[in-house]
Amino acid sequence: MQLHLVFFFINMKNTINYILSLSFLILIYGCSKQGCMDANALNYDDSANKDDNSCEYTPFDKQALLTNMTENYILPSIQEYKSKIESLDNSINNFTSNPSEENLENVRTEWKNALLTWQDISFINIGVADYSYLINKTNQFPADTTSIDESISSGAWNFDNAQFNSSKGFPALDYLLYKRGLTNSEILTNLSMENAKNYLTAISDDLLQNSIEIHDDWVSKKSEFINNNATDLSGNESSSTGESVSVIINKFCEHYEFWVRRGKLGLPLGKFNQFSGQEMPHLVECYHYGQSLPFLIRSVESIKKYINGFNYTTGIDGPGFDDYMDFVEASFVNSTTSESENLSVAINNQFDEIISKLNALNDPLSVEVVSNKSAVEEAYEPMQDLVPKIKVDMTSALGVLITYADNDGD
Amino acid sequence: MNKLNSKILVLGLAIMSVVSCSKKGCTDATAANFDVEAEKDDESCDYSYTVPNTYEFTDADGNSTVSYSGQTQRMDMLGELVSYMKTANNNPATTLDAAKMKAMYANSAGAGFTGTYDDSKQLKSKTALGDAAVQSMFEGWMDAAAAATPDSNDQYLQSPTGLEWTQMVEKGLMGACFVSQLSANYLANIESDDNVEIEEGKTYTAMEHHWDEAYGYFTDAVDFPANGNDRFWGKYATKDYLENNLGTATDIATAFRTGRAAISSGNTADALAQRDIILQEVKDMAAGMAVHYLNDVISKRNDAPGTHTEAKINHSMSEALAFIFGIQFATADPIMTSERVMEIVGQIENAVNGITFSSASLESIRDEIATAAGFSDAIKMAL
Repeated sequence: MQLHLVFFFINMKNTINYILSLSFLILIYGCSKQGCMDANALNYDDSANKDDNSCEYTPFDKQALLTNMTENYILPSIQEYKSKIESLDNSINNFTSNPSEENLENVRTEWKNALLTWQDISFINIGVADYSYLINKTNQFPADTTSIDESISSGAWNFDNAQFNSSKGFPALDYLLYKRGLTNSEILTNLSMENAKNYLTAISDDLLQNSIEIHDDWVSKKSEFINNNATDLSGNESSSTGESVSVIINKFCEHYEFWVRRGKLGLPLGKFNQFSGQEMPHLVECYHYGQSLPFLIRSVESIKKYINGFNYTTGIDGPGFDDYMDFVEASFVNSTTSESENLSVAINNQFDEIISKLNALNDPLSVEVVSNKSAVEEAYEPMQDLVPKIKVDMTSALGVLITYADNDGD
Repeated sequence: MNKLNSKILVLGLAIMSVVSCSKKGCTDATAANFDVEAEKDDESCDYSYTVPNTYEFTDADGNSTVSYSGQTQRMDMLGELVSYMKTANNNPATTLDAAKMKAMYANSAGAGFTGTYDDSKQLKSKTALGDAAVQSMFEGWMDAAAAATPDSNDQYLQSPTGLEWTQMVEKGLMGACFVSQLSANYLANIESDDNVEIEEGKTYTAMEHHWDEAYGYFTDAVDFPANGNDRFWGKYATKDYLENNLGTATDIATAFRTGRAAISSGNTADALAQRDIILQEVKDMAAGMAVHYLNDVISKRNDAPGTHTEAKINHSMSEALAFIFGIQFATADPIMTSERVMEIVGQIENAVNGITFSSASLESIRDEIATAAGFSDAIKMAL
């Protein structure tokens, strides 16, 4: 509007009539010719002289992304997890009918395979998985060893009760199969007792039941999910309701932040002991097995594949959030170099840095967090730096609202 | 028409065009005169407010918007825990149950509380922003108190070196739980809280509620200091040595009421200024208590031998120790690092005994804290 005023005063040299008629024209023009002024937009108006934020663009094909992620990552990974749990179940059945060192070794192998595959799917956490607290029921470490010992000695337990979440699943198997301070033959003797065998079977049944439940949930509800409505994935109370893209992002961000960054590394390293800085080695995943890093690295690698739209089985790149970010030209300003780069590149580089720093560490992680603390902190730092990139930069570029809370309230 | 008239006419038309293009008004939803239809802000928003004399705030329908019941529950739980621990004072026949104390700390099965508390409310999870090692220290003091076997008609349950665990738990949690939650958790993050949406099923915004929860860790009464001055920070803030030297009770209560009124009128800038006042006063309050009890020990020791029992001096020393321990939790930017605080605590904890601990050491610790807090010599000596 200031421009119009200047224009009028410059023209004061001309005749008054001319000024008056022109001024009326321009004033009317100034108010009425609003519209979209971006030539790249679908509704570009070449007569508009004032942009009114009405521009419309070809939208990103979210359905292609959802189809790719659902068909090529979510379904095959959950199918694979279910089959790994079935193998674990078979090995446990073999062991309980014939407890031998060889059969114990088979159970251990199948447990490791299943736990690795769990890292591929844990962050999906949508539908039944979400509202039934699959993560808590499957891999809430550390195991409650007191409760496990008491249950086995009394022969009574109730896995339907959430109080038993830390007494079952992978952490309980870690404890039972590799209990610290025991020799293999002592472990075999313990697990050959009737109550222990029943307990192993109960853990296995529980894992199997849960894997079937999430598998069936996805098979029956995938179309609704691809059609952009995560609400229909489950008929029950769930936080994973709403638009599917938003649900996917919220779920993996939350999982990465709390279960991976915090649970698998930050807590054992003492990062959440803000005052004492005290390390808590017993909080690592697979404390008894003594190998934690393969599971941590697998979880980071899998999240990276997932958000980039990789095919779970073939590894072929399909439409993912990297493409979505590039489509909206999301950029990221590197704080050290002050240079701008694609946000998708910045995020993938961050993942790569995390993986390379984690690969430089040695198991057992429970020892490493104390004896090689500075190296572990060096790995934790990029893990921390990834949080704002995915939770703030990515979500704001894609117009997604983070709906989970940082704080558990009062 | 002369040139002057035409200038006025053109100017007038230009102004009219601006006015006619979009409806103007206050576009900030948090302001009192928010206009839903306004598209363009005309800087007319009303952020004025009146500061009430009590901590009572209502919405347009007259419903109270204040809630800090979770904080009062934690005060009640700490009250019950401390009362239980004190049953061993003056009573060598009574031994404490470690499991019961730890259950009271975590509000879990076996606590045997008299009051009724929500399952989700506990002291432990809110201790030191979740620092498990600090939580273990409290549990360690409870274990030690339970393991103690008082050998005579002791006035207080203390270790052989004079450490009084009850004081470590009570005054320690005033710092590690109450002050830490008030400052580092709630007020330090208040700026990022939403102040537009009313929370589902509630009458307040997140910012209003978090401000109230901070207040609830300071005192449990809306008419403080008339009430709510009988326990924890509400009690100590009104003590003459804090109030007369640092203005603690008046300054903190006023800042809480002013800031809350500012938040409810959408005046975030004023609220943040009040937050800064509270954070500073809370640091002074925490340091002031440590200096006060160190002065108390020094003065008791300077009295003629026999004036005070050894147990009485150790009682004051344990209070001093617990308040020193708490300094590290006062705000996200405490006057001393945790590392330094714990060095001092370690120095004192194993030799609390007020009779044998050197006076020079006590004065040097007191001076270090007073200097870090920025207290003048006059204030330091008066506390």
